[in-house]
Amino acid sequence: MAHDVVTVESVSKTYKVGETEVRALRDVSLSINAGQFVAIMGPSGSGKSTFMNLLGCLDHPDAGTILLDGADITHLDRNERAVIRNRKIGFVFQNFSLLARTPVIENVELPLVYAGTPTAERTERARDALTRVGLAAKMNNQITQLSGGEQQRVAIARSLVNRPPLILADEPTGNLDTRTSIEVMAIFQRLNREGISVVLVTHEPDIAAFAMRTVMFRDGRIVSDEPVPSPRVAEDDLAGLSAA
Amino acid sequence: MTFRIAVRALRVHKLRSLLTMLGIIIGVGAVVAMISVGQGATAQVTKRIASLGSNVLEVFPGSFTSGGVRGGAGSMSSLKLEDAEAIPAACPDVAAVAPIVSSGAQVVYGNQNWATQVNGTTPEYLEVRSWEIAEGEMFTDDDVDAGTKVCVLGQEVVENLIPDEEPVGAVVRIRNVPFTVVGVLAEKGSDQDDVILIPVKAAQRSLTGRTYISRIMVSAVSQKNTSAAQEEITQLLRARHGIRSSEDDDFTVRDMADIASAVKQSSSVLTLLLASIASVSLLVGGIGIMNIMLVSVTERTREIGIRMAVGAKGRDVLLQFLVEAVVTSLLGGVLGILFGIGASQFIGWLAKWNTPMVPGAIVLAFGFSAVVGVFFGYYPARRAANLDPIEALRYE
Repeated sequence: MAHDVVTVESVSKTYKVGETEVRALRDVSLSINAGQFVAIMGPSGSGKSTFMNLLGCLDHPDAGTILLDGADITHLDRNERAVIRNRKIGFVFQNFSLLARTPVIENVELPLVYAGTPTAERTERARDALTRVGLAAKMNNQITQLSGGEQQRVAIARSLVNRPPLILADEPTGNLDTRTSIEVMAIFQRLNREGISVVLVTHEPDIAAFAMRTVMFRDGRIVSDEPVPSPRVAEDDLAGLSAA
Repeated sequence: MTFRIAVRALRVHKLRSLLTMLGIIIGVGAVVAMISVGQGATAQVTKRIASLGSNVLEVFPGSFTSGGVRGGAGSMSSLKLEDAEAIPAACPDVAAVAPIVSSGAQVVYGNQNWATQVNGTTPEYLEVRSWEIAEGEMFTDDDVDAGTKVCVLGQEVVENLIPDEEPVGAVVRIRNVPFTVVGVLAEKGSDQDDVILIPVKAAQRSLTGRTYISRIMVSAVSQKNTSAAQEEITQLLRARHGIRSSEDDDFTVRDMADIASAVKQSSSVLTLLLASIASVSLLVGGIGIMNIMLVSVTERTREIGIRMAVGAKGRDVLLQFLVEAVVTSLLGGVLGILFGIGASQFIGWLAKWNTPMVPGAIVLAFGFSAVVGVFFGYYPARRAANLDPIEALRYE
């Protein structure tokens, strides 16, 4: 049996917004096996963003424990969390979150810079990561010269470059058209096949259908957690699109 | 890497970076220019004093005391022409002696008039002051003995009183007494040309009406002999004035070198003052850097969030912004040094001084601008480092 890449146990998180307390997560437990592709769904305010922030080691829970790749990340301080983010997690955001006015290759190298990787190795690994998303040819371009889909692929390359066990993608297709969305999902599926666990937050059922498992949040709780009977295969969909 | 990031960030906002630097540029420039100009001024003043003659001593009458009321130095009428005449024979270290009766006077020629200083003296005055005659000739010892009403004009007096005519042979009226111009002094510069020389006895009779003299100028054989000459003159005058060993001198012998060092000291104090005023603008420049860095941190919140998400620690972000502030201020410092050198050259050219480069000042200004960068960059950088990554990522 594969070990868990993520184990969340009875996690709660409460925010204070002015005077009122917002109970963003109430006693949530969830395990994700290594190599799984999980879609997290739910309306806004359901707690899925808070859950992602906790998984992404950007924040710590009020109660409960979180294990990431076997390590307890519940009570880490700011700097320790930064190290975990750097080594264990690759982030992909809806708005790409790339550094403008910085060449593609340097954007991809960024996590390696903070990992203290030597320059030569940095460039090589960034080039490899770009090759995996099919953008090696544009490594010296500026970010602003790329299309939205290409920018998201750069972001995926950046998330890969430190060889993390887990990629967290927060609405990665939210700013993309259908075809580009499927192209991006194809990359995620391929990376998943290569062994990386992927947690995808989306509110589009079409996109969630590419995952193996769908977890639904509502009012700070998990209301359903089901395997997807027959996940969509992005490459087949693309072939279908081309044929049509 | 951090350095490259900083340089890129500065290049993105070229105009803003330049304006941020401007405070430092002006501050450093002002410090460098002020120190350089101050040094030039000191050198200039020293040179002016040297032009009086570094081997020159001056003997002044002592202060006058009457019923407990003490006058200032030189208020006493204790020096006589005979005192001056006795010096050469008794003092082997003395090269030349010139008694001086000094008085301000209004001088008239034709329809021109001019207020100037009239010095009654002897021909040896030129030797003491190492001064030359440009036109005509100096009055003679005979003129001194006879009290002939002849005079020698300084260049500035000629320019103001007899600008268009041949001065030698002209008759000017000094306090309404006609004097014939027999010569014109060479230009000495340093404000010393506004003077008229007349025979000392003529001055005593026509100007002061007294037998006392204002002071005695003495030149020592060389600069090394000034102390010995000072001692000899003191002994001689004490003997002549019948001063007992328990009593104080009724005269003062002053060495030009002493005056020079005093003036030099006061002008370096002035330089320090100017430099400290200028360094205030360096402080203001630093505050400018802080201001812009704070704006920049806010503006780049998202970038900070991205960096933190991919693993930048607080320290990494702090360093990035700190390096940016220091690069800004150092670059400003370098430009400021160039600006300061340019400004001091320009001021030197205007004032016709030599304004020397002071390497110490340049190093100091450069170091100071680095310190300013660290000091004023730290607060914005720390703010950036303490941002919450979630908030920062959400920031639009």
